Amino acid sequence: MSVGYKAILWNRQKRHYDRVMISLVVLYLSLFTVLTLIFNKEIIPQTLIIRATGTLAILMLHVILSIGPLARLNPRFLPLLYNRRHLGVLMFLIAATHGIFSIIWFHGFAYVSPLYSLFVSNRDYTSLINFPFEVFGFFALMILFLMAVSSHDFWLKNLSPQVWKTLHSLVYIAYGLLLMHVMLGVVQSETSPWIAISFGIGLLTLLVLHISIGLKESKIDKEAKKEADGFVKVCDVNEIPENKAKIIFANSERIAIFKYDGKLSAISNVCKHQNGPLGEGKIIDGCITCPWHGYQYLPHNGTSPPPFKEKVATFELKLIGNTVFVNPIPFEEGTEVTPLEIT
Amino acid sequence: MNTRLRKTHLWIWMAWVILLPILFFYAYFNTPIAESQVLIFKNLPEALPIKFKSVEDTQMKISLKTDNKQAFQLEMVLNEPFKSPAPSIWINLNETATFENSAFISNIEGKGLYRFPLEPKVAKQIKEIIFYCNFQKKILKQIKLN
Repeated sequence: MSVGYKAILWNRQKRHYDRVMISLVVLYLSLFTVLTLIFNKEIIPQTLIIRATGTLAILMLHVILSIGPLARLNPRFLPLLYNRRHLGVLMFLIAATHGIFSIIWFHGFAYVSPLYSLFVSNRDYTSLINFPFEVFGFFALMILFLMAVSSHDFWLKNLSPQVWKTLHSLVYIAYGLLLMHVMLGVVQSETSPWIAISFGIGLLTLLVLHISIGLKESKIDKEAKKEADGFVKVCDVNEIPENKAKIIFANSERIAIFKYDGKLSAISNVCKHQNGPLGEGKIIDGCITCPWHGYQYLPHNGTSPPPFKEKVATFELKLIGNTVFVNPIPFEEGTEVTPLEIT
Repeated sequence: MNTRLRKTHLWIWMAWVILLPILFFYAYFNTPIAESQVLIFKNLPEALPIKFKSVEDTQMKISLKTDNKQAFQLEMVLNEPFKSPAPSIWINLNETATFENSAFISNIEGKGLYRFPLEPKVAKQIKEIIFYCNFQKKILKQIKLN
């Protein structure tokens, strides 16, 4: 969390994350170079750079797109999510290296400008199989560029998490474009089937992960039945673990009901930062802590502790016997609600 | 994520789960199979036995040869290709002639051995070999044969 904006708000985890990330990138590029020089001695440096950065960018994109659903499947993957933006920016820089080298090498020596050449050197736009594959790569790179430059919290705050998330969902379009870039490009020019097989495995993994998580989440989003007084039944109070929450779906959004210090409080499940699932976090130092990036909220009023200014909606609770009920109509964001004592 | 984003996310992947495998397999199974190209060359003429003129530098060796039975040939061993898209070889029969007066012999490709048959009258009068780029319209090299 931060009150102002800094280029990067470094902490120990981010430094560790970036060190591991850069080490793996260097390791991949070194291995790729050594193996290529062993098995293809005639390769020229330009081709080596284009191939190494292209394959690495595709691999990194698969990793990035897997992190979200993996973190939903198992909280042990949450540390990967924490600094995913740095991974995304690095992936863009590697993809841009691939793109710039390719444009210069394949289109830089024509009588027309390289970008013009990119679009007109192959004009078979009406054919799917012979479609100029570089164009797919170019537009994918533009999307990745847009995402990289808007990745900072400044844009997240100013565009609103909803718009920012929608903008960054364009990565799925970029993935589709890159699939065609690879399938109509390198797969057509290489005789080995392993490039297509590797991409196919990556595609299958992503489809299975995202669809299975999407279906699992949609099962949670079943509207809870309202009682006569408008409240909805949550669960038995003993089902909520200490310092953690039970999540229910009511009034078209998820609500997180936390148990702590013999009390209950309910707030919106949606974090103000990146819409992270607050109900999957826990109470640390008296604050509900988002599992994604550690944004914190006080359970009784849904506001971040000073000097931070984020606030989420709060809800009214009642306890009948051991059964917890919540009124799904939210109070205004940051409204103080006296925690419900568990008798 | 909030409910709307979760739904959008699921719909995108529902679309992708249908569309991307179709595109993937369509592209894979319709990949054009490159036809292997076999370059066909006319057999190089046999080297004539008698060398009567020769010039050599680091890039090439040029010889004029004959068999003393009215057969003549120009032989060129090109060690280093010209950095030009369309090099060609021309000859001049007069020491004072310019490129405009020279005669075309052949286009040349990369490095290697070349032999060109010559008319006896021409072979005896060659004074200069000119290498010219037909694309860039410029003289690449001139070699005097004395």
